[in-house]
Amino acid sequence: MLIDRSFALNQADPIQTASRSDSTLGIREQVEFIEIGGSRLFACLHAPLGDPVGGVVICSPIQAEFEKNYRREFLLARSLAARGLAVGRFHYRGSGNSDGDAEDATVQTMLEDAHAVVGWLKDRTGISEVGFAGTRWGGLVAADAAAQYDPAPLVLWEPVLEPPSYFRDAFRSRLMRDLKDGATNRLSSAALRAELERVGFVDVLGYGVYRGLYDDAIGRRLVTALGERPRPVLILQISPEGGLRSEYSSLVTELRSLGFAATAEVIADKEEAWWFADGRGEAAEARVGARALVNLTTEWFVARFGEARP
Amino acid sequence: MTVEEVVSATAQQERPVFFTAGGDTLLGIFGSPTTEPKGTAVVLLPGGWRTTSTARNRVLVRLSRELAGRGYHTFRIDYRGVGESTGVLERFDMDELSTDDLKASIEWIEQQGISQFVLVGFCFGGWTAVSYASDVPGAEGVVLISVPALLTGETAVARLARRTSMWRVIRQGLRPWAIRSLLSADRRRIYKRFLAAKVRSFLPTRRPSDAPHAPIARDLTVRFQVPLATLLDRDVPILFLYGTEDEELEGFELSKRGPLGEVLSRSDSLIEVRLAPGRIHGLDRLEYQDAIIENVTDWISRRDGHDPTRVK
Repeated sequence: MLIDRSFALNQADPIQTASRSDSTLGIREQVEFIEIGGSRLFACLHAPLGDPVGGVVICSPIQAEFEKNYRREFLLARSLAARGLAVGRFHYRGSGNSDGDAEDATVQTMLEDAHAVVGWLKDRTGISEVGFAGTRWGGLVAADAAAQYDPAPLVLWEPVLEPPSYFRDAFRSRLMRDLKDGATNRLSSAALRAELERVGFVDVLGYGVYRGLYDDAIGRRLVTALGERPRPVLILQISPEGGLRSEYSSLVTELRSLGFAATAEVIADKEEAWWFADGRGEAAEARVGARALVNLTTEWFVARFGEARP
Repeated sequence: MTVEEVVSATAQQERPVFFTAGGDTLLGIFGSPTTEPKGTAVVLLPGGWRTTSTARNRVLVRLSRELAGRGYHTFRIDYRGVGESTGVLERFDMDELSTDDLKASIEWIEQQGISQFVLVGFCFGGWTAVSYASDVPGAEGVVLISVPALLTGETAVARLARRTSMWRVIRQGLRPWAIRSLLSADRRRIYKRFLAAKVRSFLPTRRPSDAPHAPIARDLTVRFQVPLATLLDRDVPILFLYGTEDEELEGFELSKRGPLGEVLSRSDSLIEVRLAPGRIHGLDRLEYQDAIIENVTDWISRRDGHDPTRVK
């Protein structure tokens, strides 16, 4: 592993980049803060050592789910880069290492962030075509962003189809925590929604669910965000057991009726509770399900963009 | 009273760096002060269980930027096998602390010309800080947040069973939603584990006290007795921060009756124990996160003899 220490020689440069390369995997990686609207966005580039054949922007889930999916996204990015694709990952403004406050984040600002990363990825690697991958809430962002880049292929991991279901899960998680803590003033989902209206935010397991995000998101639907121009879409359901859930089989049917080349598969991995950390389990690198998720997604994108040139 | 205006840092004052630890490269975020530098770097160590350098709801990012507003350089890291760092973290174990990662972090910071440090560690990160701080000549302070003193080996289900009264178990079990949920095999499995744990909770424990505690498997502080004593001998101040409802606080109080108490009693003036309301260990409420940021910032600022009063 080689580490580029050039930043140390160039202290005047307002943007500092950390770089490393891995000759075994045949990849190079850069981490930097990129400018967007007077703020800085934490962004990670994973690219092949040679010329990339295309690019993929990964849109993360949010709040507790962001942490939960973090390592799988890192592994996916490295896997794609090793097969010739340049990958951009980022922290939405108001989250992670990026600037901004969580209360100012909306779907609109997340979309702006995703578009900024597309521009940055193209600038850094020279790619012309880009695809998107999104998990849970990130699926909404990825779908909307993909609609702007024809014919951007799209992979969705366990996507949120309609924001109300996401908020319902979040509020239930809060209720579960309160039950576990033996709290006497437990609030139902309806009461938490009322609190959101009244106070402007609800604390869900240490993350603020803010009214700005709620109001901006509540009328959106993933299928609408995808737009009218058909594109290849792969939906991956992550569940420990069982077949494809009806919500995803209905989505595939609806997308096909609109002309999209949509498919869905079930990946067996232990992910039944997105809001609760499972760091005590095996590392993502060691989990069969996580590896299958990464491998299947990689093969699907490689089939769309083609193999890297030797 | 001097009132200083504090301007928190942003990403403008931060830069990502890769540095080597063993055969892996770790990500660190190095933050510079927004005001006159004090020449001290605060190294922030997240808890275990694959927590990234930001920690839940970016608590460590917010803490870093508050500290940078008070003149401190900051450094937060992704442990090996976590976040953006390479390597694989096979398992999490209190016997395998991330001291190599901390050592590499300190060496990287020293290369930037900074040789004074305050180490801040959450839980697992706290003992990582203690285990290596005595080897850092420039260590000026150590902050330990919800560090576990006693290991019980108790699972979350067993803990819940121990804390839930039998009356409550019966009342909840007869609720319509509880009965309906028996249709789910997953739920049935969880209920079975819970009931088994509830039965076990009635069995006598190995703890000498009369209180209904979980059995103690191991006193962790025995292992950290020497490094703690070394730090105190060098006049390095230490802050223990717990939540009033943290399980770790109970263990800390009990372990003070043993070797930990002997060490702490030697240097009363260097040790401060602060309590914040609630259960801060999991960072799972916004108010707990704010309390941690406030207490850590305040303690580090006061350690330098500065009034941390903030006016915006």
